[in-house]
Amino acid sequence: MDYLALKKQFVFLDHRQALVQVHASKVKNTKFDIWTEGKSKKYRGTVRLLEQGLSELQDEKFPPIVVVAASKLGGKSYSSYDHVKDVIYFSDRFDSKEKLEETLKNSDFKARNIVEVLRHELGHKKHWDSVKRYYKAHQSRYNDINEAKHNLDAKLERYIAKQNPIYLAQTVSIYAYTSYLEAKAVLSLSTVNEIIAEVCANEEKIKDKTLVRLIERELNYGRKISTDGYFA
Amino acid sequence: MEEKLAPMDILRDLTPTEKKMANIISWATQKTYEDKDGYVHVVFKKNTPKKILRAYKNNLDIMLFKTEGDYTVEK
Repeated sequence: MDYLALKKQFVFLDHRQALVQVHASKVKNTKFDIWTEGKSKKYRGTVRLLEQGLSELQDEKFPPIVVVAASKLGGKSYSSYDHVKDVIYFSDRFDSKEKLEETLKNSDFKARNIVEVLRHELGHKKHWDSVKRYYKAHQSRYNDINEAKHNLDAKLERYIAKQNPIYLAQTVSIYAYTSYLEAKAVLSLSTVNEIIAEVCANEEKIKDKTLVRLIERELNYGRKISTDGYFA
Repeated sequence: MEEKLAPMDILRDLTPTEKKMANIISWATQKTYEDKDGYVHVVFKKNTPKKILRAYKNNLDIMLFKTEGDYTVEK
């Protein structure tokens, strides 16, 4: 595996909101925008795993993906999305398809393989892209992007609030359920973030099509429809 | 110039406490409801093991919803 000599610095907040800086090199000889903090066998395996997943999602537009040490992202983390920098971070915890799928098999997520983990992260990107378009279109109405997000998410939040208390655990995933309740408990503005990402991970398996439709509508806010009928 | 940073959306394993709650709730049915004061009344599946019911009563503090511990078991 070849790397570009030039390194780029990536800065983000980890799961404890502590500042983390990594220096990563761009992976050469790949058609994907992948960066890696290290060059050991473990990192190379993770890059290969990402390439396998991305090659099955060629129609989707991914931001740069940076492979970082698991300890930097948070020991028990898989991946994350930074909406300010538009970057996906991926932990080096999983350097093979088998290792990842074995762990996901008993997890509380919707995702069961690398493609679905990537779709989860892409779900976050699509959500934030939609929020950014909404904020841009209504900038005079809101003081900041979070206020705009709160309004854009409101319809989905109202729909979920109307369902029975364990609806998310049974309809989406345990992870979506606990993330929603925790965000609600601390009055966070991110109550629906993980729900959207979990639905995006494996939309076909979601039985409540009203929920899927509401999410699709939110993600497609302000997107132009091209002449062939698809969103640009 | 200071770089702008915001909390990320991180996909991570559940903590042991979340896992415990998730294990209890996996035995709840869709008949579970919220009363008019916002308290959740859990309706457990017919074959819910006694240790799960006990765990629910003993771990109300880890439930992320408002509850006084009321529950019924499906007949």
